[in-house]
Amino acid sequence: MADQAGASNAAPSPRTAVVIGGNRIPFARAGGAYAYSSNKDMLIAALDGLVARFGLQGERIGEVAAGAVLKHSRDFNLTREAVLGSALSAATPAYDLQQACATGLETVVGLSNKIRLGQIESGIAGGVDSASDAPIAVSEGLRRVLLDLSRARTTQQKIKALGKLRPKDLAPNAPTTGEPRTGLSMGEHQALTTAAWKISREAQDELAYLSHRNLAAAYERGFFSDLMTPYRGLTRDANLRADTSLEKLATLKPVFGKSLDTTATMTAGNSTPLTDGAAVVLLGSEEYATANNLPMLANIVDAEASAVDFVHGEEGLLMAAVHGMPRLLARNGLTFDDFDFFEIHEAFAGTVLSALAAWEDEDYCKRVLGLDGALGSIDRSKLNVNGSSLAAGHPFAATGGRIVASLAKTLSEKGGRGLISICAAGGQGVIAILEARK
Amino acid sequence: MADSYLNLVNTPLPAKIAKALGLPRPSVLRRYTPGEALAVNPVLVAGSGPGADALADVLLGWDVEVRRHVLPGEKLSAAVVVLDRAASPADLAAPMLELGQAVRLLVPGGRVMGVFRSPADTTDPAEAAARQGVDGAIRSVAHELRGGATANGIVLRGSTTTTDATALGALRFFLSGKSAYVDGQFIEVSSAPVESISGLAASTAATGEGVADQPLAGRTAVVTGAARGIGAKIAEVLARDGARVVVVDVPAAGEQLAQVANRVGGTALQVDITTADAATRILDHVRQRYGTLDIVVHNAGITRDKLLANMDASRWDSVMAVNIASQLRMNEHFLASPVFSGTGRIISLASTSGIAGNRGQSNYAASKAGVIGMVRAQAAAFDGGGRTINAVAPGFIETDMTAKIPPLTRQVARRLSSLQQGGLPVDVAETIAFLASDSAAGINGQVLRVCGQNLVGA
Amino acid sequence: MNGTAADDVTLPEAPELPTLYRSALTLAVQRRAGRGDVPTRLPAARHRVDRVAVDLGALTRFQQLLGSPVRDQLPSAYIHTIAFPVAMSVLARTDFPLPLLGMVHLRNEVHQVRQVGFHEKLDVVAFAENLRAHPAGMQADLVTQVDIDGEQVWTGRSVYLARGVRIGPAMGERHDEDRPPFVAPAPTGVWRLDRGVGRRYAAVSGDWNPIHLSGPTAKALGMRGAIAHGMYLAARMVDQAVPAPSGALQWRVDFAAPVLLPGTVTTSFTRVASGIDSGADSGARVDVVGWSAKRKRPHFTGSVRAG
Repeated sequence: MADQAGASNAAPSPRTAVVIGGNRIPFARAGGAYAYSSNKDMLIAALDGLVARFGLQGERIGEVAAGAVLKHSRDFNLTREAVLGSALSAATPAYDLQQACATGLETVVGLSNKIRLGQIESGIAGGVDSASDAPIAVSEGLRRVLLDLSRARTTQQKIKALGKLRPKDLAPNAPTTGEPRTGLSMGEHQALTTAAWKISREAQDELAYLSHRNLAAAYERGFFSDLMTPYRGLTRDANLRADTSLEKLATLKPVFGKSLDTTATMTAGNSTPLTDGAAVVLLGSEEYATANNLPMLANIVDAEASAVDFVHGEEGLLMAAVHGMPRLLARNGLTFDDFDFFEIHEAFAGTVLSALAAWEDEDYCKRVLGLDGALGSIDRSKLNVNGSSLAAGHPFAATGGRIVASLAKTLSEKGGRGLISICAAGGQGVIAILEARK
Repeated sequence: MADSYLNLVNTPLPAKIAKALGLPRPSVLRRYTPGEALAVNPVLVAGSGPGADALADVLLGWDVEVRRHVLPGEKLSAAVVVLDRAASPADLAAPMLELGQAVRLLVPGGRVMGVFRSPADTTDPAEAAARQGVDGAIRSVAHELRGGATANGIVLRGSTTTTDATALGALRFFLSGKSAYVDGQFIEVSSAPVESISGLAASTAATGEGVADQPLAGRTAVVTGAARGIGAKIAEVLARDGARVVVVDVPAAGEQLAQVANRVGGTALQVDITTADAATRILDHVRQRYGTLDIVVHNAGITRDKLLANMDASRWDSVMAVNIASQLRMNEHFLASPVFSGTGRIISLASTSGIAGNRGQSNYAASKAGVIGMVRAQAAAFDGGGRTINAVAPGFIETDMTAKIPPLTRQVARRLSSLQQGGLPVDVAETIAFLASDSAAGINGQVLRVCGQNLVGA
Repeated sequence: MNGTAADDVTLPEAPELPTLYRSALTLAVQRRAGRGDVPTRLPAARHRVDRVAVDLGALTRFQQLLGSPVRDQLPSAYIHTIAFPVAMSVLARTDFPLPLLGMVHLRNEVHQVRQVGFHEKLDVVAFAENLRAHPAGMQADLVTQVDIDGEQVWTGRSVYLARGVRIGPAMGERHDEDRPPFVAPAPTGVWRLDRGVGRRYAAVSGDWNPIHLSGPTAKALGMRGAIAHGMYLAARMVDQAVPAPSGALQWRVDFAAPVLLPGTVTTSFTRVASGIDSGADSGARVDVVGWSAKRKRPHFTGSVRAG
C-alpha cells in the first residue's frame, strides 16, 4: 500500500460513503443467453442477486440509481420499474441516469455524494444494457405521419396526414453506436486515436490477452463468487476466452480503421464486442453499514467527469478521462505512484494504451493538458488485475458497476488505493478514486 | 415429480377400482400447517406407572383430551403406549393389546408412539428382552397401519424421564404433521444438559405453549446445497420457524440460490463447499452479518451412479469430496471457531442408501454411511456439552434428483414404503427443523430416517 | 461595387425558382438556336426584394434536415437560401451573358455581422460583378446583400463557372500537374449521404435544380449522376463547425469534385488559432475539408470563423 500522500485539497466531506458490495449477472454476447431478456429483466436479476447477497428483502433503500444507454421509450422509468419488480421494498425510490458508457460509474458518484451529504443512508447504483433487445425506432417519416395523425381531428386531416406516408418510411431505424456529430462509429473514432498515438497491433493484442488471462485467473480463484449471480444458465462472462493466446489474437483481421492511410490494427480481439448484462453496487454511510452488520469494502474518495471537443479534431473521442486525470489527482494531492490498482475501462485496447501513452508524453502533457511535464507512467502490473472489458464484455451502462464492485473487493483484500477511468461516447469520461478502509 | 398414482387413487371412482383390485392405496399424508391442533380427537395413553401418569398430565396441559383406556367406538388421534417400566417380556402384553384396540380406532393420519427405555442401558437379560421387544412390536405396528398413520418410538436413555423436555419435544414432533413421513423410527433421548436448553424449551415442558410458531427465533442457520430441492425446503422451514438463514450453494447455482434467499428473507452465499476456505467464508459471513452460528445443515450432496465394476476415479472422488470430506473439513473449522454457538446444532444429510446400500451407488453409499460414522463419533465428543450432531436419512423423496429415476423403478420405489408413497422435501425439512430446535437438545448422535418405513435397509 | 440607384430593379416579391429555371431553359434554347444576342458584359442591374418574411415551418424543416437544433436564429446558409431566388433572377436575365443552366458553383464567401431571428424582415439585394476568364471557361461573382432595418447584416459572394464559354481573351489551358496532389488530413468524421438527400434539400431550400434530383435528370444536363447541393454541404459545414453561433460569422467554401449521390464524404474539422483573414481580429477558426476517401480527392475545402 502506498504511503499517505499529501493532504487533500478537496473540500472536507462531512461523511464517508462506502462500497458495501456488488452484484452483476455474467455478461452475455449479443444474441446469446440474454437475447430475449430486456433491460428491465436483467436489472431486476442484478438487483435480486444483490438483495439475496445482503439480505435486503423488503428493505427500503435510500435511493436506487441506474440507467441504460440503449433504452426503449417504454423504459422511461426503467430503474423504478426494476425496483418494483425486485425483492426490494416498493417504498424504495429510483431514478434513471444516462451518461453513455460512464452511466454506471456516474450513478455511483451521484449516490455516494447523496450519502456524503446525509441525504440518504443507503443506495444502489448501477446500470444495464442489452445490445440484443435494442430498441428499433420507426423512420422519421412514419413518426411524423403518426404524430400528425394523432393530432388530426377531421377525416380530411387524417387522410392528408396519411397521404404523406411513403413506402420507404415503413423501414425501421436500428440504433447505431455512431456519434451524431461526426457520423463515425466509436471504433472508427478510436482507430483515429490509435493511429495518432501509433499504438501497435502487438501492444493491443497483448493488452487483450492479459485481460482474458487476468479475468480467467480471477474466476479460478473464486473472486467473483460474491460479486456475481448467474442468470439464464450463464455462469461466466460468455466473452471470456481463457485459452486465448497472442498467436490466436494475431490471426484476427482488423475491423476498424480500414479506411485510414495507416495500418489498421483494431480487431474483434482487441475491441469489446456488443454485450448484454447488468451490474449494481450497494453503497452506504458508515453508520448504515455498521448498524446493519454490513461489510465496508472501500471508501469512495472523489470523482470527476470530463469532456473533450472531438468534433473539431482537437482530441480523440475517448480521451476525455486523460484530461480529467491531472485535475482529479491535483485536487487530492496524489500522483500515479500513490495508487495500487488501476481500472481503466477497455472499450478498445487502443483506448487504454492511448491514454497511457498520453500521460507519459511530456510534450502532449505540456501542450494539451497544460502541465509542467508528463503526468506519469502507470505500472502495468497494477492495471486491470482482474481483467476488464476486453475479456468480460461491455454492456455499456453496466461496466461502471462491474468495475467499482471488483475494485472495492480487491482493495478490501489487498488494501491500498485504486483509480477508475471510464471513457464514454460524446467525448466524455468519468474517473474516480476508491480507497481501502484503514 | 408429482405422484399421479397417489392423486388418482384418492379420487372416488379410481379409489373403488384400486380397492377391488387390491392395489396399493396410499393416503394423502397429514402435514403440518402453522396453528394446527396437536390432536383433534382424544389421545390414548396406555401403560401404567408414574411415567405414564406424568405423561398423561402433560398432554392434558397441552389441551389434548387424554384417555387412559380405549372407549368403544371413540376415534383416537393417537395412541401412546408407555412402557418405561417394562422389566420382562411379560410386561408388554396388556399395554400392547390395549394398543391393538386403539389402532382400530385411529383417525386417518393417526399416530402410534411407544415410549420405552433403551435395551443398551440394562444388563438384565429379561429387561433387555422386554425393551428390545417393544422395538419389534412398534416396527410391526407401523407396517400394519393404514390411512397415513405412523408408528414410532421414543427411547429413553439412562434415567431420562417420560416428561423430560426432549422426550416431550419428540412427542410433540411425532404427534404433529411435521413427522408425516417418519414411520417405524426410534429416537433415543437423553437428559439434555441444562445449559443447552433455553427457557423456551423448559416452558414447553411445563405448558406446551409458545413453541409452535417460532421455535428457532433468534437463531442463525446455514444450509448448504440450498439452491433447490430438499435444501431449499429446509431453508424455508427453518425461516418459517424463525431462524435467520444463510443459504449456501455453488456459484453456478447462484440464480436459484438468490431466489431462495429472497423467498426466505435470508442471505445467499455462493461457496463451493469442497474448497479449502469454504468454512472460513461461511464463518466470516455469519460473524459479519449475524454474530453467532447456531445451526448447520450439511445438505449439499451429489450422486454419480455407476456399478462399482465400471466406477472411475472422478465419480468416486467427486461424490466423496462433496458428500463427506467437505463436511468433515467444515465441521473442524466450525468447532474451532468462537462463532459456532456453544449450543450449536449440526444436522447432516445421510441417506437410506448409506444404511442399506444401493445397487450402482457404492460411492454414494460410502459417503452417506460415512456421514453416519462421522455423526456418531462427533456426538460422542459432544456428549455432555451443549452441542449436538445428528443425521437425517431420507428415503425416496420426490425431488428433481429422484425424478431422473426411470418411471417404473420410480413407481416401485414409491410403493415400497409402509406409507406406499414417496416423501416430500418438506418432510425432511420438518425433521431437520425439529432436530435444530431446543426441543431436541437431548438428541445427539442419532440417525433419523425420513423414509415412510421404506423396506430398503429396514 | 454598388451600382447606381438607377440600376435597381425592385421586385414585388421573391421570384419562384421553377419559373426562373423555365425561362432560363427557354433562353438557352433560343441562344442555342442562334436567336437572341449573347451579351458580353454583366448587367449592372441590382435586383431588390424588400421585407422578405421567414416561413417558420420551412425554417424548421431546413434546420431538421441539417440535424441542427431548431432554434429561433436562422442558419447562416439559410439566409443564402432566402436570398437565392433574388440572386437567381439576376442570372436569369436575358442580358446575363452566361447560361444559368449547367453553371457550376465554385465558391461561396459569407460575411455575417450578427445572428438573424426568424421574426425579422429581410431586405435582399443581388447583383453580378467581376466577369473574368477561368481555365475552363468564364466565371462571375454573384453578390447578395441582406439588410435589416437599414443595417447590413449578411453579405454573400458566390462564384460561378460557365464551362466552355469564351468571352474575350482565353486563359491558358490548365494542366493537372500544376495542381499539387491532394493530401487528406486526419479525418474527424464522415457524412453518409443517401440517394434522396438532393430531393430533400430541394424541398427545404426551393432549389429544384434537376442536377440534384435524380440520376436521369442530372444526366440530361451532362452530370454523371445526381449530385449533392453545394449549399447543403456548406450549410452542414457551417453548422458543424460552429454549432451555436451567437454573433458574427464568416465562412468560405471552395467546391472541388461534386458529391455524387448516394455518397460518403470523409470530413476533417480542425480548430486553428488564426482567423480567416489572419488579421488582428482572430476569432476561433475551424478549417474544414471534405473528401472522398475512396477516390482520394477533395469535394470541398472551407473555413468558418465565429466572432
